[in-house]
Amino acid sequence: MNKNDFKGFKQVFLFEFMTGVKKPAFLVTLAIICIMGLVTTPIMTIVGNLKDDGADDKKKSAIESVYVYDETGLSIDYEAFTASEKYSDVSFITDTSMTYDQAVESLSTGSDHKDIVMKTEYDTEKGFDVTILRSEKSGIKGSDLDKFEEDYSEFLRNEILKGLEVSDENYEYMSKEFNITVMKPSKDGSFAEDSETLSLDDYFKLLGGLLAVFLLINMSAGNVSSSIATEKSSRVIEFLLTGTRPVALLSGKIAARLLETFITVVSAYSSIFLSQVISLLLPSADTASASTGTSDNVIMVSSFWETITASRLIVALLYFLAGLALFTVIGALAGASVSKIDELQDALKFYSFLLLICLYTDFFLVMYKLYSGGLEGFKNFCALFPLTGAFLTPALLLTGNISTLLAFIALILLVIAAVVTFIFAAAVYESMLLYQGKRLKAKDIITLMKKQVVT
Amino acid sequence: MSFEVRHLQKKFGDKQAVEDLSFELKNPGVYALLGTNGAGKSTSIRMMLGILARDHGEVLFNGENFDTHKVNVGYLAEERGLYPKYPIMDQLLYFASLKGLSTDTAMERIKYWGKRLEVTEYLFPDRKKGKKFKPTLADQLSKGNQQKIQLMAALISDPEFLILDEPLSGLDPVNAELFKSVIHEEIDKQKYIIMSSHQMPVIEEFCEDITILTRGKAVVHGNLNEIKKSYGRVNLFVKCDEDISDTIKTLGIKVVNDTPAGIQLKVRDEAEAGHLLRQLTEANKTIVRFELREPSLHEIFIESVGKGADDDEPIETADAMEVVVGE
Repeated sequence: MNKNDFKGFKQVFLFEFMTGVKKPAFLVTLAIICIMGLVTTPIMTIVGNLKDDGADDKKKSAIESVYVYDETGLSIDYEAFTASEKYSDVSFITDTSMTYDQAVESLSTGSDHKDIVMKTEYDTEKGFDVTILRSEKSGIKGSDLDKFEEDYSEFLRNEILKGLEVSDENYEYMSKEFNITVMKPSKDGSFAEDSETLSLDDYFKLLGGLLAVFLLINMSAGNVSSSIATEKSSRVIEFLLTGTRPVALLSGKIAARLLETFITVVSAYSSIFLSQVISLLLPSADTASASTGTSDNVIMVSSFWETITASRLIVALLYFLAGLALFTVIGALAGASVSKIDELQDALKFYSFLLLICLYTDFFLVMYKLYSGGLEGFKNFCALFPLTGAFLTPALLLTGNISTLLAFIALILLVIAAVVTFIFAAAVYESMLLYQGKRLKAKDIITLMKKQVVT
Repeated sequence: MSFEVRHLQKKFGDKQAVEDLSFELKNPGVYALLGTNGAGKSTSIRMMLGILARDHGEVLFNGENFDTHKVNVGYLAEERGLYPKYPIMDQLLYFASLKGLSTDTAMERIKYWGKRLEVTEYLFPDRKKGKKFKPTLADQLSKGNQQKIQLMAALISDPEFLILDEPLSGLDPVNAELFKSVIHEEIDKQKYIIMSSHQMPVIEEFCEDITILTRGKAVVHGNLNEIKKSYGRVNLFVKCDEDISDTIKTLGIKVVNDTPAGIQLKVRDEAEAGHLLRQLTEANKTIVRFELREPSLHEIFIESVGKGADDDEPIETADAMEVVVGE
């Protein structure tokens, strides 16, 4: 392979790119991604604002009576709970002639559907245990019960602390949550979270990254394979070869797909970023709701950047593009192994199988890390092995689950794999350009690879 | 300028597709490659163009290795192809850019050839007011018009060297005449052209030098007039008012065809024809037509190729695959 082999690369690249971006499929996909990125957060914010506009707080609860069975021995002032407008019509019946079992029985047979039975127990090991029962035909909505559950928990804690004579100020202080993060230095010197298991936040980021990369790789490889199969099927390839080299044809197509994907990624992120800005500017129903609704979403994005540094971002981006190139080359091989476009689906079976095996391996790792932790060796293998790393390594790096050094080593391995695959693919692609006949099997392709590369 | 093919060879598996093909174009004009299906014409052309690796032999242009990326070559392939779902204008501009043409020059030439080949309406469809402009896609064209676009692609770079593989196959008589007139124009421009065809009258119309291939082997090659002369004037056509079959039988002349229009004979030499003429004159036969002529290209072709030529067979094993030259 020499410089001459790339004669015509620019022309092929420009043609492939221009025809690619004009395709309705690309435009529609890009539009959907951008629209989703742009509107999701503002819609979530608006819906959040609507939900948290305080109307629910003022609306009367659907619950009419609460049969209280308090086995804690504490003195709870239920009248205080009914002081709020929402629960002003709710009666707490503490002195009932019915036993707990009778009350439960009456719920299942009784005609009044707006009553609930509430039992509060205390266990020295487990703590407070509140059980709420409602009738099967209950007229009380789930959302009413959720709200009641939330308000009652707060009320109960308040009552307990009040019984212990804790002041409001101390209560506020004591009710704050503890967030403990253990950090350890990574090989590149930066500190990363030292955790055996994944946080739920990281899990969703990894899963999202995995799926996004999978979709982009699939799209790019599919486009290249169909483009090659079309050129072979329509026999236009013979004419093209008088003006350019096979390697230039292959590399021009791959480069065009990489640029298309890069544009898609940049557009998607820009849309999400813009949507965050829009969300910040959106008017809120009240100050309190604005601080919960809007800022929660912004926090989601800003927390994403906590573990991202410029070097990590660059390595992740390069890794993503190299992974995309690797799978696109494999897709190109599938396209080159057919003579007719109709045979392409069949030819892509092996490619799809390979893709899914790698994807599921990464899925397994992410899920295992969420529930059990450990598997550090397997995680490093998945990050370093080019076929599995292509989907996962950028997300692992950006979330701080692997060090920049490890990602850099993985990048070198991936680039080597992509270059070697490209050399093999180019040789096989050249051999099969004019081939017209039955679809080639993997065995035939390997024979050709040996013939072309070894000789 | 000269173009020389030396000892070209190609094997697909056990099948010898081309065996020791050599010829030379010293002067501008058309060189013909003839042969039945599967004779090795297209394989030879692909090897000349460097699309297909050759097992042996060399192709020289002005004494140097022939490289389509250095010499301005126009190629009309036997397997015609366009991107079916892409606008034809985009495709032509792409093909032109691969030949190193600027967009402006390419547009100029597309306009010229569009007019010349009567496809302007497809290249520059009307822009209807208020309606979205829809360019013409290749699969919206008839086969003949697609062939015109492909000829345009071959000629757009104004090539100094032209290779036309079966240029007139599948064309209706009107379009065939249009293509012929374009080829004549290219000949007048002193272009060097290699043409392959099954249509013997077309070859006779354009070519001075030919090679006839059968099963990859050149069985006849050289200047067409000299080849014809070498066969001698042995085709005799005789028409008399009276029955002359007895005379022919007596002289032992081979009857090729006996029709109401006359009798077609194959004589050993001109002397035998003269002997027959004398016999008929002495017998007072009324001779309506007595024509002694060289064999036609069609006859030479049939005689040299015979009837056992194979049809094209798809190559279906990895061993038999065609290998593209990458050097």
